[in-house]
Amino acid sequence: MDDFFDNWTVQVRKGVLELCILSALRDQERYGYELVKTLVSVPGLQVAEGSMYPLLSRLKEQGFVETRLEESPEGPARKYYKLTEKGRTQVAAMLVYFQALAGAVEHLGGPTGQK
Amino acid sequence: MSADTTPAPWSDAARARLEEFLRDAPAQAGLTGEAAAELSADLDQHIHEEMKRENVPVISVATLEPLLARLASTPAPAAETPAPARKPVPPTPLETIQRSKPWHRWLFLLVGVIIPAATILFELFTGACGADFFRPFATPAHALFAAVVPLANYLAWRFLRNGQSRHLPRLAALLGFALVPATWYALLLAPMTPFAFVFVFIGVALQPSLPFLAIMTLAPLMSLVARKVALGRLNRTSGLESDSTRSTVRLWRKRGVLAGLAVLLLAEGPGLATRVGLSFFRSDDEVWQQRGLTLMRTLGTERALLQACYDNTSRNAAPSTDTAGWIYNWTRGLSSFAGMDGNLTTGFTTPPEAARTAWFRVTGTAYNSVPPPRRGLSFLPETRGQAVREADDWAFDPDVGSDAVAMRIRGLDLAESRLDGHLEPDAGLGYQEWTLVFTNATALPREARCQIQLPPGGVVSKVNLWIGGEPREAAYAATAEVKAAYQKVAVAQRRDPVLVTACGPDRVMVQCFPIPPGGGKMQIRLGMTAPLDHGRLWLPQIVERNFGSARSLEHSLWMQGPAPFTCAANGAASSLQKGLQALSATLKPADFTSPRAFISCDAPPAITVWTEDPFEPAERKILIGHRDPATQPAAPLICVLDSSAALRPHYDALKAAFHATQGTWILADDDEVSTIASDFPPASTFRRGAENGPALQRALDEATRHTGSVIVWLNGPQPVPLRSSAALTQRLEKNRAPAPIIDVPLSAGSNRLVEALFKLGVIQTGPRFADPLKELPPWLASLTTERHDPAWRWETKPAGTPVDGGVKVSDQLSRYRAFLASPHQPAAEDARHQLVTAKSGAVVLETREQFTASGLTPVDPALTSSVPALPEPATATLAATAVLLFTRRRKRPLVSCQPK
Repeated sequence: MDDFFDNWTVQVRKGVLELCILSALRDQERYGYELVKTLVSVPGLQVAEGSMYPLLSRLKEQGFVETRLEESPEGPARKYYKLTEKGRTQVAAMLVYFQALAGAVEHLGGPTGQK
Repeated sequence: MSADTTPAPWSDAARARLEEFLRDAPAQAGLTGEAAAELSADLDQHIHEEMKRENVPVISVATLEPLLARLASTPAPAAETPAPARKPVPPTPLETIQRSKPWHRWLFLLVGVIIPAATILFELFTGACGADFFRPFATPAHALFAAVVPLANYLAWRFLRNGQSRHLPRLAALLGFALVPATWYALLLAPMTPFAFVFVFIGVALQPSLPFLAIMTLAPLMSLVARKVALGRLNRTSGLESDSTRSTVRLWRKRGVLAGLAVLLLAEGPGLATRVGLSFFRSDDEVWQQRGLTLMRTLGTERALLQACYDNTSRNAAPSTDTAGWIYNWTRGLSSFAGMDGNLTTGFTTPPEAARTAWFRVTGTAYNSVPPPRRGLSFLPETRGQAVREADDWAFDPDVGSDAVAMRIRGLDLAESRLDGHLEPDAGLGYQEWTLVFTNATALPREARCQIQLPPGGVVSKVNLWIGGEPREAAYAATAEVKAAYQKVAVAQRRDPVLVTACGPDRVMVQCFPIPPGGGKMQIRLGMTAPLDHGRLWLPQIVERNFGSARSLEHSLWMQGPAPFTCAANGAASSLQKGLQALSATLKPADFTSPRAFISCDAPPAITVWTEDPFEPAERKILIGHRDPATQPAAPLICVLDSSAALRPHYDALKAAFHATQGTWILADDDEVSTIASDFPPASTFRRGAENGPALQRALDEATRHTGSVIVWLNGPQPVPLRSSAALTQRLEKNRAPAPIIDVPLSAGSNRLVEALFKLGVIQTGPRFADPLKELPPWLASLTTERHDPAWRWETKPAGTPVDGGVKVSDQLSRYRAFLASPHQPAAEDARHQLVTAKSGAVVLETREQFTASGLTPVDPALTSSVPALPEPATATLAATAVLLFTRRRKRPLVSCQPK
């Protein structure tokens, strides 16, 4: 792959990272470590573990997620994240948009574009 | 995801490493405050979760580091899309530039900022360059213009230490702008630069301060070099950033240069245009003269023109001038050296007389009616001690003893002024004594010179000079004799004389010398006898002077008389004091330079008055004056109207007078003469200085066609001798019976044309108007109809002869009679009556030997004029009783001499 592709994937990853976080929280609440590990394991997302926490903080500030602490006998308290109603609405809209965009890109070639 | 297990213990080193990581991580993420604390907590929790899953007995640094590296690092490239290896991140271009050696930075600060800024401040506060060479900061705008240089260099210095790239365009613009003032002042100082280079190193041997002055002379050049260095580094920076950044920087630098040039043009263009206009004005070709005037009027500046009025005079011990004059002087020198000649190069040697004429033609005022250009501080307020600088201290006054008032002398001031007056409504006369105290703060003895406008129809009848604290009386003689005595004593012997001579109708020239240096004072007193003009006694006024006014100057006025009166200058009215009506007031200096200050008394004059004439023998001791009715015939009226700017305030009055009178109106408009037919010229016509000589010639021509014509000259100041004066006087000398010219000055100021006509005896005094709009039109109209004005008829009787029906008045009556007879009697008669007239003058010398050596005799103090002292109450009562008895015995009421 060349530089162009490398740069392009970086931009795409940046664009979908927030969608991935919100999607991961769509069905259940997760605590931070678990959420980060889940996202790190997504192929191609290539997210650094340390960079996830500032992003989660920002989403919390924007009102898309909320947190609660649960004491742990084996270390620091665990912070659990879950979607707010606002976040739920937002992620639904983002998914619709993303799927429509991906579908449109898929079909851009159309009948003449297909090999 | 993972089963909870008992976590392994942490080693101290690992715990310390964790704390360090948690402390640094928020800063690396650019977080502070609450967000930083939250990130630390999240990472701490994450690390503990991860470490729980490590199957190690003890969590050591070695166990921890891989996780910390993973948390801190950018994501690893995916296996299927390997990213190319990142190039090593070079330091930013700015960082490269900013890594210069510290001593370079401090040298730049010294040369580019500190020395230029200190030089500007030094010049502002001491005026060193302005006093000896040229004034670099003629206005605050000039100083700000120069201050851009150290400012731009300072901002560049800061930028090159820790600036940000986004500031590059603004800084480039500022440095581009700074190129213009730095180059401008470096060029202005170029003639001194070679010497400055030498004096930096060896100047200390001549004078300790010389190296510092030399460094300041080189300041513009140094700042120019510093600016070049800063710009070079900026260019390198912008070039390393990107091509677009470099282009942007270049564009803004060019814009800055253009802005600097525009400001320079605005600041210095008018001065240069004035100098070029002056060079044209000096041409013998009238077309070029007019072009020069047009250039100065449209693009020039009065500041530069005033400076030119003082350039190249011997007053200037050093060739101090403005920047435009400095450029011209050096251009003149270079052109002379190169053997060039031509219109411009001959113009470089503009003599001050030409500049003064140009000043009048451009502004319509006298150059010495405004303070002289400041030579030291450029615009900061002058304090008493700063007002007189060394250069002014030692400046020579070339006009000592001459007939010209000439240049203002900085440091020579009128410090005190007091006017005492006495009204005699019965006689229709007033007598005023004006005491003036001059002070000289310079280092040389000075001569105070001024022209004083007397009340209309007035005459100087007393002159005193204080010597050793006592007033000394003057000697009166023919004008030539008193002038010779003054020249001999003042100019040759440098002793104390005062000279008063007539220089026009109702005008006298006063000269006193030497006013001692270093704050010395000189006190003189002038007594003036004048007729009441429709009940008004006008106050004298200074119309031209070579001295300034002290900051604390006030004019103390004391006026007394037998009838109530008011003072128009400040609206105060008299009140009864010790049997006389008296008024005490403090007037502003402007009241003695404005033609609108007068005392007004409604009491009518007596028909017959008499006095004991102190100058006549017993057989003619009683002088009786009768006011007989007389008729003046109607006369064809020719009005000569001066279009100078000084008459602009009276435009409405002049226009009303034009429409209210029958006669010929001739307009002196700039160089042209025109007859006003039906439409009065617009107000914009009255905006500069006009030559009046040609218009007066036209009026004299017109008068030859209408027998008995009277010419009324409505004028403002004509403060410089103009070309037309000689032609006019020549014309009048050939004309044996020219029509009378009535001088009506509507604005205060000197008038060289009036002085020339006065010597020929062809000009008469006109009235003064408190309100020209109301009074000028009817007065002009009255000239064209038959009018009845009383005329004096005199008779004398032996001493002791009773006078029936006459009111006794003071001996001012005899002086006034002698003044009226002056045109028909020899100078000796004027002198015998102690009068300063067209033929006689007054001089006070310091010693009796000087009087004797000059063939003069000072008058007897007992025979001189004086303001009567207020009687004591008892005396006043006795006097009132005596008057009452006298009037009862005579059974004739006195008209108006009783105190009210």
